[in-house]
Amino acid sequence: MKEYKVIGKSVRRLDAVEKATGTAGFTSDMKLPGMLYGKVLRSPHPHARIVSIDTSEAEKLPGVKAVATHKNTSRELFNTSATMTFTVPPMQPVLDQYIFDNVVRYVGDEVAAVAATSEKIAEAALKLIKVEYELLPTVYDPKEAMTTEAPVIHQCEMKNVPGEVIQIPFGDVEKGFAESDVIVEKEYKLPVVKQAQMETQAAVAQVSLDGKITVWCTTQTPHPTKMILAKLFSVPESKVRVLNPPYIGGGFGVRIGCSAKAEPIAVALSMLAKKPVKVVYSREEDFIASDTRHAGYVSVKLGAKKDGTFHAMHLKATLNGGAYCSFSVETPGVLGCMGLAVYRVPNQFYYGHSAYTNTTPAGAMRGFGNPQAMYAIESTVDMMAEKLGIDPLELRLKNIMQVGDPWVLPYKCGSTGLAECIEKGAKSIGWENRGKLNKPGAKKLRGIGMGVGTHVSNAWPFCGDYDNAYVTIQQDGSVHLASGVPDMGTGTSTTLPQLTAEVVGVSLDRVSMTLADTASTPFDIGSHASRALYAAGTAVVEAARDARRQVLEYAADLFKVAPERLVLEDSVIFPAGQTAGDDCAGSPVCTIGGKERKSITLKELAYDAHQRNKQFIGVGRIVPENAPPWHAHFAEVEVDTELCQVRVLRVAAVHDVGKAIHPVICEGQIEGGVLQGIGYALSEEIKYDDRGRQLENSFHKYMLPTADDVPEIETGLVEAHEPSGPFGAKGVGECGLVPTAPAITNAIYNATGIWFCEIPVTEEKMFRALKEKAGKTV
Amino acid sequence: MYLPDFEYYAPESVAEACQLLAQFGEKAKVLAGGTDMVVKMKNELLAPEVVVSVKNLEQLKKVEYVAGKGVSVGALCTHNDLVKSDVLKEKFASVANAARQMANNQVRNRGTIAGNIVSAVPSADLPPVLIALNATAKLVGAKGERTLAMEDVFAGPGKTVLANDEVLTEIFIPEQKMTGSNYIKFGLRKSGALAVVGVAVAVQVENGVIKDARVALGAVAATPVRAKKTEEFLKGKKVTDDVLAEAGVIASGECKPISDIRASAEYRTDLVRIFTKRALRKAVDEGHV
Ligand SMILES: Cc1cc2nc3c(=O)[nH]c(=O)nc-3n(C[C@H](O)[C@H](O)[C@H](O)COP(=O)(O)OP(=O)(O)OC[C@H]3O[C@@H](n4cnc5c(N)ncnc54)[C@H](O)[C@@H]3O)c2cc1C
Repeated sequence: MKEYKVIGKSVRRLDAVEKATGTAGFTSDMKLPGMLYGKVLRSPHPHARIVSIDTSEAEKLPGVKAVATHKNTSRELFNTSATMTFTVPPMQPVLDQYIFDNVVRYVGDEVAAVAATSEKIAEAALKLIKVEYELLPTVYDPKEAMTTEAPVIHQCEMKNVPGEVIQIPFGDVEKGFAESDVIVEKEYKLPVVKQAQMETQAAVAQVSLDGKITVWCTTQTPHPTKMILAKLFSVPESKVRVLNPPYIGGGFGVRIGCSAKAEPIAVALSMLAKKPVKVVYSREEDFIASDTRHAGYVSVKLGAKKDGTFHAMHLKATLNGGAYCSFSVETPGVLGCMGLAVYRVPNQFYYGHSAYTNTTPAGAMRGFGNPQAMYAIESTVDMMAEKLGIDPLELRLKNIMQVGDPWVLPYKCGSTGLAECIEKGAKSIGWENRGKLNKPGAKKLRGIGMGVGTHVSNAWPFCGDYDNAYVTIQQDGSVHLASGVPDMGTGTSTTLPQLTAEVVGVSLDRVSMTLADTASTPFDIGSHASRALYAAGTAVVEAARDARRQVLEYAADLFKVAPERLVLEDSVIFPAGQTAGDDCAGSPVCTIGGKERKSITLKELAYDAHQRNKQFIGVGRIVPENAPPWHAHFAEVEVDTELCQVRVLRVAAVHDVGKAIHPVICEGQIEGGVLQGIGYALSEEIKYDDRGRQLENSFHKYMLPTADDVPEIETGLVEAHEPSGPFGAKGVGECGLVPTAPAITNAIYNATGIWFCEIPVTEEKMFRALKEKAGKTV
Repeated sequence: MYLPDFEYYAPESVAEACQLLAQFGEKAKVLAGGTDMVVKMKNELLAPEVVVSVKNLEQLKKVEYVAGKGVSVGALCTHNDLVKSDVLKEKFASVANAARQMANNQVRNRGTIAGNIVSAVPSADLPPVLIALNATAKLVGAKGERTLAMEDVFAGPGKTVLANDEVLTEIFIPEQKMTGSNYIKFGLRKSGALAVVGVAVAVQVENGVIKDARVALGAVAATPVRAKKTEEFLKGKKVTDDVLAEAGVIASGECKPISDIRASAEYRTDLVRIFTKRALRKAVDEGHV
């Protein structure tokens, strides 16, 4: 195997010093001369018509420079999510919102905004806006939203269902169940959870007098966001620049497209006030008025032969889309496809969609439907194992997808290390001790459970998807990379330069990257779908190869040999078969500056080219494939049956990530995902009161696990070479969250004998379940 | 989310603070660490016209052992002062341990014992253990001072018996006949969570018999409450698992919790039963922990 010089190594992150010292740039830190502060008036009602709105008192308050409402802002229908820009035809993007409308559809919906010389004045002005509401009937549950009695939230072909229903047939599912010996069927209920990224939604907009718009913001997708803003404000895309400054404090999917409405509102206010305007959401606004994960219902019907061979599966999802359609069509799509892709089941059917309700819009969140699918499927698989009397691990090994198996996806299952992930994880958790951990009569019960899954490495076929990159050799032989993907903490600004350095043949410290800026990088759909390294990385490799090719062609002329014979390594070019150096008898010799040379540095060569009026500019333009990463998680839990509390003691998380370009970054992604998965399984949830208000609207109330709650996490990497990925890599970003919840709930079953078909398994739920169980057994 | 305007004073002595408070009456509020008050002011739940900061009263920031009498805790000690105090660790580790379970490190660095008491939040973590240890609170006003039993300070959720001009200056934990004490907090995560239930106990055990007991419950009534029936039940009993379990059952009958987003009344009641038993066991076996 080839020895790599830069990739596969956990080099120091290129953003490490800046971030550790607090000097890295984020939107919330930005300040421009003359900048105003924008604040948003939000609806206190879950569904209402605005009968009248009077902003005159607010406008009179000294320091107020603009007040925006539905009356003086764009009446262009749009979608805050990037789905507006890359929905795959013949599907059409759902456009169902305005910046401000005369109907509000959830508590937190935007009613008006003020720009003022200070945040305090802006906030004071909001109180002076008089709004008269006519209350409308409400609905909060997606199943109820589809009934005839429910109010219409948006006109749709099927009552309150945005876009279309996703149906995926495979084999003959009716026949499959008829031929099955054992069938398990169950419905699962899923909570609303939040990305809880560190930096809240934020944007700073500057509109120049000649109509150019610049927006610094927290988006995960600068290029698509540019397209959204251009359409919304009827400006040519060439006059809109969207960029990160250059970092984002996390994302987890919450800003694929606009950062909620931070960008549109900042631009609208800036146009009215003719000054730069900064809009930063408070944590409460972030909680109630920016996309959540889709809650709802997933049901699974699984049929198997007596020997454990899966034979039929029916998967159904009814998701809560909230008040506006963000990714409410794509999420059920990914849920279904990922759900059907893990096991080789000859007869399958999926039926899934979202429904509008009067709750905060649901959109993309790490895993994108897949954690919802796998919690349901992996619970059902354990139930099936019990019914069949087969070890759940064996049952999985028997049924998991293999390379080349037919499946529902339009790309190949080109690699899988899942069996190895399962074996490694089992060893690490001590699977053989499962069922032997508890003494009779113990009040603290231990249990071990597992869950597996796959994911995407890219957004296609769920969205349009392509990438470009430039790699330019500077006049001193150092290398500049330009890619449109952001680094939201995931390490892109280190791993993409690693790829560049490896391909060009220079050390990492010679490479610098410009990222996430529509004016200085070519189009890229952005950082989501676990795609930045896999997809944008493929474009970067392509661009780096192009630049290297140009360098070697130029050098070939000087050496008077074919370019293929030349090597570029550690910034030195020399003919293959001999080391760089000056006294290599019989080697081709090149002439530079009148001197005869047997090798030449990239620095000398680039400057020579410069003097002859030439620069090496590598361009990468690719349409990425897609590839499945795989993962197996194992959890050991302890249930205190007196306190009704579950503690996760250990998690073993083994992931097939393809080639690990930066192993520590991979592990970091997995650990973070595991912790989010623990929150999903046990504590995180946003509930609503009977007036449509979000009860958990702060970190104080929302039970995000803290650093103190982190259990022992043993991560493992399996590197099954993926032919379509850069150096064999695939996605990793979202995967840690996918099989965590079912590993935990299966462990809880193993400990207590109780199936939880609704997460999170809070203390309160455990209290009720244990009471019910005790009542039954008495 | 922004502080309202107010007049600000930072007096150099308790007397001066009382003077200012007397002068401005209802319009004024004392400010200590601000971890409760500033949050309330930003959320528009409180808008004092005058803020009297006690931050300069250095003499109120000490924990001291008074030989033969007990431990004096200055009212402006922060939670982390309590956590780090060698005196408390040696004499009443249960108090230091209660402080350690509060909030998060940032809040423990700022929040004070006075603020924790005077805020009178039913779920506050320090009052139960202080009540169990029979601590007293010294209140200094413009016209003089008085000392109250800790449990008599509270008048309702967010309400105390302090007069407008009174400043809490000292908490005194007397030398004990109690041989052990313990506080158990139950929050929904390990850090940054308010108590769903808090149970504090103190016991005097001699030759395996409980001579005296005090049990105080937090987060299960409008104020921290004594479980007096439980205390009576325990007195004179031999320490057995059954007795401690029975004490738990009695204590759970003595609380009146509410249901809120964190837990139902029913679950809270049951937690009181378990924690009373567990806290008693710890106090009996391990002393003041
Ligand atoms: C994130 C977070 C987590 C928290 N977690 C917990 C927790 O787990 N457990 C818990 O018990 N509390 C918790 N709290 C609440 C709070 O931090 C504590 O109650 C703290 O002890 C308050 O002290 P302070 O000095 O900040 O009070 P301040 O906010 O300064 O004052 C609180 C009240 O006390 C009055 N006051 C203060 N000092 C005096 C005095 N010397 N004399 C008279 N009146 C006075 C003030 O006028 C005010 O009414 C939390 C708070 C936050 C923000």
